[in-house]
Amino acid sequence: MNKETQEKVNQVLDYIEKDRLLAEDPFFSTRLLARTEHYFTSGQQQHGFARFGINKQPVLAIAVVVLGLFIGIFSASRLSTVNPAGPVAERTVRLEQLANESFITEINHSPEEQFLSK
Amino acid sequence: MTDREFIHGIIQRDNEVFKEVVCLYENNVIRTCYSLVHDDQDARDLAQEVFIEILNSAESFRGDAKLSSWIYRIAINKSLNYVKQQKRRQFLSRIGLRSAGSDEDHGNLPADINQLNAEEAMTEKEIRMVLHLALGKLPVNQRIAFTMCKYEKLSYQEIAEVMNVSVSSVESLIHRAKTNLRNRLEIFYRENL
Repeated sequence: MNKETQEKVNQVLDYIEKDRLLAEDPFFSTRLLARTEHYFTSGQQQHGFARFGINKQPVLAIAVVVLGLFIGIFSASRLSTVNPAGPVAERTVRLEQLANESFITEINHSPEEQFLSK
Repeated sequence: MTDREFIHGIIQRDNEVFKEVVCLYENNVIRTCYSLVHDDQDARDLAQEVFIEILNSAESFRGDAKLSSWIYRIAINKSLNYVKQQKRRQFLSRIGLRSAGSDEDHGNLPADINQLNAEEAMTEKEIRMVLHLALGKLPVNQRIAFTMCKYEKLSYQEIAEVMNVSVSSVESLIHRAKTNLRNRLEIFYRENL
């Protein structure tokens, strides 16, 4: 290789040191943060349902409806069931006893009973 | 802050952590992209894509390599994909499927180093052009190893981690890259001076 060629080759290879020095870009991070803003403003949503590609609002709406139905059915079934140990049951038993006593009393004082007892 | 804390912060969409990662790696990512695409503005655009990719795939970071290696790998992949697209565009424009002087073509770079006139290759701009064309002709692995070493000043160990190869492979790749580069430049200047 002649001297001139050698010089040129070295000149090009030495240029790498200069080539790697890039000018600072003061707006790089500003541009990037503007582009990625939506990642942070909806961070929770992204991290939750959106992670699976599902929109949060319809899922929540369905969940509220299902929960409402469940509470409604549960309450209704609970109200319609007579708990033998509850206060309502006690009152029912008491009324039944009073009704029986009254019935027996009524029977005892009925005209038929009075006729038979003679 | 450790790598794990950085990644955890990014997964949690912590803006401050992301800003810190950008601040730490901005120059490295831009320089890595530039060393492979050889265009300042394209390198900056690609670097933006790299950071967006970091946001999107932070959860896939397994932690078996350093965060910097993972970021370098994303930057390299993005840049190489871009170069591939550019080559396809240049090919299409050469065979007439695209207009030759479209906005997406970059300057007046000749497609091959041999198309350059040595007399023109005197100024700094032209030296840069010769360098970039010669680098672009290196096999991909040699190009990555060489640019990581010369542009990023990474150690052989760090390059091995980024490229997922052994240190001895990196040594060999860099040695071959230097030899290839020198040979190409010698042939070019011998024929054109």
